Amino acid sequence: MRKMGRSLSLLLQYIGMIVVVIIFMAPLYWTAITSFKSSWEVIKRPPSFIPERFLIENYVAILSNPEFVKNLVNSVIACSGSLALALVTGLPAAYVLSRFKFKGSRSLYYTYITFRMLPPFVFLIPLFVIYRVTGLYDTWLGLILAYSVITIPITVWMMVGFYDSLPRELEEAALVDGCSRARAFLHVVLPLSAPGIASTAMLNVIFTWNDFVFALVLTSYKAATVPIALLGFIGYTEVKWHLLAAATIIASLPLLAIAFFVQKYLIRGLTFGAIKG
Amino acid sequence: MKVKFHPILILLPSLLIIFSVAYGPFLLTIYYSTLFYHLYKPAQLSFRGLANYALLFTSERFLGSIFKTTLFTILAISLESVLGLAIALLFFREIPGVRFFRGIVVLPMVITPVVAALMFRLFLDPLTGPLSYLLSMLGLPSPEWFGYETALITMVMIDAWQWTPFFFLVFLTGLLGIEKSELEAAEIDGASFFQKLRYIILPHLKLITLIALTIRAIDCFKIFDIIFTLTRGGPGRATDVLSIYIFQQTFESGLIGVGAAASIITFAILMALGNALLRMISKAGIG
Repeated sequence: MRKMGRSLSLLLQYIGMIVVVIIFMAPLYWTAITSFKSSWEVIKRPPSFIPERFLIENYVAILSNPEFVKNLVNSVIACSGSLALALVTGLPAAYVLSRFKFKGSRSLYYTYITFRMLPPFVFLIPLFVIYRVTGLYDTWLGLILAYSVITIPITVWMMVGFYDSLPRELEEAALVDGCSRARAFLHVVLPLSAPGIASTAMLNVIFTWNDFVFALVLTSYKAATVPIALLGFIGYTEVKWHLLAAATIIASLPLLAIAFFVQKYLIRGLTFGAIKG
Repeated sequence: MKVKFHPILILLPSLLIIFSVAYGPFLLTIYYSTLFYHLYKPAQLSFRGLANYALLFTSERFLGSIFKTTLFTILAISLESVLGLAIALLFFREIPGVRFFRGIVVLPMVITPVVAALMFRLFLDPLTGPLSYLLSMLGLPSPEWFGYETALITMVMIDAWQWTPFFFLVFLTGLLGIEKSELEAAEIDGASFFQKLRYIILPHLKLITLIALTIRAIDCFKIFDIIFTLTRGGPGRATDVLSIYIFQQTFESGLIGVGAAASIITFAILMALGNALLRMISKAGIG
């Protein structure tokens, strides 16, 4: 009797999990199959839940559109540029915040966190004005600088947590051997931080790749990123569903690939390290 | 002789960037909020004191957008936290394949909000989407998802699709942190599922729940992307949340002063939430 109850509850758990997965995957699945349909199959009734033929024409059309490719390149450059800037300036900063306690170090740490709470328009409005005057408007450099306000705080709070968990004895041995603090950081600490840096980098890519509002305000055409381009698919008269679907899938692929690796760190990144996944 | 230098020097480059791109401009926004400053007629600049704020607090549209933003936030975080807890409890027990299922449920969180909005635009389309078809098979009418009464609820639904997984992961992390022996002891004592929930699980999750709710409340208060993508505040003013209001005042009507004042007010509201959050984080003994 007890055994039967156990397998029943197991069965219920599986059914429950499958229902939840279907609900959460439905919009993603629908978009994915739409991206393989022809323009007439998209509007056909009753709708087909499995494409009659898997066409790659939509993907070919999107990827051979020089405008969209330009937007993809812009996104990649803005993401990687701001990531590089964040790693170069943020990694040493995180190390110092983790290892040295000095007057005001705690409030400096909060300075990095507090940023995430600012509503973006509170600095985007003057930034727009400044960018127009200085010529940074609609440029890669302008976008990279703006995005580093997203990436530097993430890098600092993720890596402070990482360095806190790294035993001090490792660098102290090097310091006793006459190594300078900078050399100890570069040759001992940095190589050991590879896993932390990798997950931090992936979180940064997620946040900058997903940005919409910065690009909307600070770019118009030359440096516009993928999310901006996607909006263009909704025309006033007609929506090209099949192309829109293919473009959104292309925009999501890098993220879905990353998601499997950073699952563990997503929560830590989103909660300023307050909840450790 | 080694030169001693203050560790703060190492922080300078990163602080410099953050101050010049975020905190510096923030001070400018405070200044702008006291001006009549038109985007397309910058020559007509004049000082107005607190007139922009007075205008906002008597503006029906602005007060309406504070109300809609608050409503959106409350609905979204309640729905997401309750669903997230339910899913976490469902996915908690270690059975073969559970890790795979967990991994899949997390995916919506990393999707670009604009993309999520567009996916729902496809999914909910009355003519080509699957949902209206399935509903009609059941003999049910398809609701007007982006109508005046329903649009804000639809936005809550899309937000919940993306961020319920966040609460799921937070609660799962919390649940996995509960000592197994504690739950087993309660089971031996004959505790029912709800007694375990009430006396062991919920007290254990209290702090992380508060942290997660506050973080999500802050983000919901800034909601912009999915609404801009789908309705731009419409139909009428049905989804006219604060960020949409600020964007339209500043960049479409060109009233920088008014937009700046509205964003300072939004900032003040978020700071109240943020301070509560920082207190909780230091109480959690981390950070």
